[in-house]
Amino acid sequence: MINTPHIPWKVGAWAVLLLSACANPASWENDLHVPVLDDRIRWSDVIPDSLYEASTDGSIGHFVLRDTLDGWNWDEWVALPDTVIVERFDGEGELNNGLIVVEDLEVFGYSEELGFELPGTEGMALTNASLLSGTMFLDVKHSLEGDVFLDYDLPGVTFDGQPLSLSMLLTPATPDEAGSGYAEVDLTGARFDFTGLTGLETNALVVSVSAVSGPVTSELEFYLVEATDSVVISLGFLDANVGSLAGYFGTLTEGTTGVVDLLDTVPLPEPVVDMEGAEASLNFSNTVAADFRLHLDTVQFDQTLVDGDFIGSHDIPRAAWVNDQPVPSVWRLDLGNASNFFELLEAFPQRLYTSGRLTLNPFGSNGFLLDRWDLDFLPTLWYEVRVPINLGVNGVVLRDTFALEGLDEFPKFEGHLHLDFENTFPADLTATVDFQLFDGGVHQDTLMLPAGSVGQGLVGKGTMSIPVNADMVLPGGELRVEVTVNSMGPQPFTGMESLRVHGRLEGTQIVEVQ
Amino acid sequence: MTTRPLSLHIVAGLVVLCLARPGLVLAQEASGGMENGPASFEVWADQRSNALSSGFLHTAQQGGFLSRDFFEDMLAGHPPMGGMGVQAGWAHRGSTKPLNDTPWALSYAVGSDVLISTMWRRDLMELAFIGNASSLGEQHFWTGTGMRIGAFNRISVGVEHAETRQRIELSLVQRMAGAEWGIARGGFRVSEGADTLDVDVQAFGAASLDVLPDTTGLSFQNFMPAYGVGISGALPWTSDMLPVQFVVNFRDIGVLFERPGGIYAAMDTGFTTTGLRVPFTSYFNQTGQVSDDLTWQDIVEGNDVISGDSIVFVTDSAARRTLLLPARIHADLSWWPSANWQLRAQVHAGAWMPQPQLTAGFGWTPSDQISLGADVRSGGWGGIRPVTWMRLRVSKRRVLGIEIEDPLGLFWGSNVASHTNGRGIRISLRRMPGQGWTPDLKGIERDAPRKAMDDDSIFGKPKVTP
Repeated sequence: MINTPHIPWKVGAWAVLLLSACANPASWENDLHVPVLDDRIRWSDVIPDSLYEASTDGSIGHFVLRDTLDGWNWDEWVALPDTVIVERFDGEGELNNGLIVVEDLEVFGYSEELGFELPGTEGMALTNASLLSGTMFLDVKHSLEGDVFLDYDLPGVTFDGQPLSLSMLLTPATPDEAGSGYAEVDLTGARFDFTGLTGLETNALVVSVSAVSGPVTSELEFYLVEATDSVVISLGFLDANVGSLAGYFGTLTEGTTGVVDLLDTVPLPEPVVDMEGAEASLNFSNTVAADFRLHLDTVQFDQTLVDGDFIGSHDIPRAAWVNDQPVPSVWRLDLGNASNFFELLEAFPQRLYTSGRLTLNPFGSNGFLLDRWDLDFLPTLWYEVRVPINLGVNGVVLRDTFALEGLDEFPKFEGHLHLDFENTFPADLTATVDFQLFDGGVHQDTLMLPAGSVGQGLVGKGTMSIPVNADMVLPGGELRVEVTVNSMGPQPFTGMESLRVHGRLEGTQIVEVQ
Repeated sequence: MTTRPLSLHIVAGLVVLCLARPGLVLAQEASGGMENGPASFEVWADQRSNALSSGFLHTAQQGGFLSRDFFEDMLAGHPPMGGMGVQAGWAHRGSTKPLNDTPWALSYAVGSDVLISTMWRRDLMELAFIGNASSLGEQHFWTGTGMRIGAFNRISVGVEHAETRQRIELSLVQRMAGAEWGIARGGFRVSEGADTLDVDVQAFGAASLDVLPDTTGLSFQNFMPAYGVGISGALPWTSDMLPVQFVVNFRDIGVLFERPGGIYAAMDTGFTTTGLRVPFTSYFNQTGQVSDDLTWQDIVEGNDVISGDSIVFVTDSAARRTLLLPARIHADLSWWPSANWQLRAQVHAGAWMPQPQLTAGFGWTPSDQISLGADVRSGGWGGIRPVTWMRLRVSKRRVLGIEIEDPLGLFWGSNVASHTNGRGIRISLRRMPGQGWTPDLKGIERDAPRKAMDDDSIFGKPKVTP
């Protein structure tokens, strides 16, 4: 029998290790073809894509400047000033002089309309309003000797259709201190009816007050209302913000100014732009059921005033109001008509300044009470300039520099970096690559790229092959790339043009295995 | 390492069992009547590939610069899915004499195995050794590529029937160390103009280590043994009318319980690129917008735009797993057309082989002391190859066997071996069952009808009852 116990169980493992233990370093060539670079220079790389409209059918594209000009702070418009309405009732008025007051006796009661006016407006007559936020308080002080139960109703103020009613207990007055009561109400979502008791009024808020005596504190268990007694009710509105208004808004004039940054950063050494077909307009989308009048006082490119018929006043019709929503009235003013607007724009100004005023309800018309305004539908004053991209960009140089570190990961690589250029700009391009090696070596190459055309489906192609090997890549260096554009005068662009740079690394590397 | 004492105990038990065996055998042989059953000791080692020839491997092992032609020759005969397997191990088995006047005897086996199984796609080899220049526009597939390696110790105990020679055993298997990785889904493509690159990889890896190996190396304490149970046995069938026998042996059909705490890694990523941007256009961009795209500037400056952690998941606290043991099933059909000739066919499956291994051949017994044979084998990890074997009687009941698979492959480094795809050797020492046992069913070693006529040939027909 074989002496099996002396054969270790590791024999198998040892055998495998022996089989693979004698390896020597080996190396071989490996052909590598991989894409390494893909980049495109488009219009969106030159200007924000919000400033141009590309054409998808091959026709000419447009530079488009479109922005709002309203300089009004709507937060200020919707904020109502804090208001306190104070009413005093004494023994010679609603409070009956000589009245013998016992418990559960109505001391006084009345209904009335509280009228108000808002400062800063002329002739405002409101019928309805809704509040986004705000606080109403009721502060009552009196000289009566017993408790008073006060009911203060505001039938014109509703929350989800329910009228507002406040009940409070007024503490009895003492010789040294007036009796009092205080209550606050959050007005968020409150709707106000200002049409008064008849439903035909304006700026009138109906209130109804009832005061009933509580337990009398005097030893006689009654007291007399005297001529010197009084009840003072203060009704206040604090931090109120309006969500919508109806009625007549009165006449109001607000001034505004605006500054627009134009294409001031495009590096065009010989800029030529053809303004044929350009459009410029000022627009007002009126979502307010009220008339406006726009007074254009100044339009100015940099330091130069624009002359034209549009300088002056322009009436803007009101919006129609259907089912509590506006049907905007869009007003448009052609800035290029009978003006030097485009002539000045051809000089590539950097900024556009505007100033003017806006008048609300310039014609009065307060008798109809048809003005409507809702914060959810704000009017917009905006301008639009559309210039066909018919541009001369002679001499534009697109230049950049890259620092390349020395690459030692592939010391045996030998091949080429092929840069395939595809140009659809209607301009000849000259691309120059200048590779300055840190060890003093230089590699330069130049590529002429013919013009392309999006409309005609033409692509100007060219390939630049840069040898890549250990000698070039190991020391590292600085890669300078310049693309010079020659458009031969103004050329129409669609906005879809691009210059594609696609890089392929093709070569052979030596793989070494130890 | 809480498992170390247990593994030591098992190894120590194996050693004690092996040491005890010779004395036990001698005692059994000395007693009259029933004798002990068959026993054997085997060692084996083989390596096989369906794609890499010995010449290729030897040249690669020698190192130096390997030419393009060298790899192209290899790839010319490379199947779409290549593979290579390595097996090495030893096994000892035996049976006592039948117990207490019953036909059942105690049987046992111990042994160790090292298994390595690797599979790879031809596309991956082409990419690694040739590059992708010649296959631009073609889709490369990596799916199915992977490797498994394991070192196993085993012990099994059961019973064997002295008359039918049926045997059933319960196996306890220790996987001392194991590792595997694979690409469950993978692909690579570079378009014809080299302007688009597509990569898609879903891969995984696992190792029975409690920590990731680092520069300090790997110690034995880092291994995490796993244990499993299975059944082993033999189901022989011998015709009473014809000189034919059929035997099915199976080993370690069961499961391995891998405890938690090992290393597991997974990667699932895919990308398509036409190349990375150079922030060239930032010079013109007046909006100040910063693109989220990965750029070459990010690569050069080392910006963490893509971190490895985002695509690779690695943990050294892997969950518990239950795996199948590397079971083996071996079916052997033998036919003795005459007293000196044997024809046989074998099917061997399992042991991580990608396909069953088929063997067919003949044997010849020129004398009572020796028998020779030659087979043709295919499948497993390789293609068709020759097998030769010899059995030599060394005592009345003991036979020494040597089987060499692909003999020319043993001449490693010589020209005659360059076109082989592997090599293997198996050496065995078998002891015939003693008195009271049905003669050995192992075909070529069993007693032939001549045995009944005191013919001690080690090669004969199965016993045919008149």
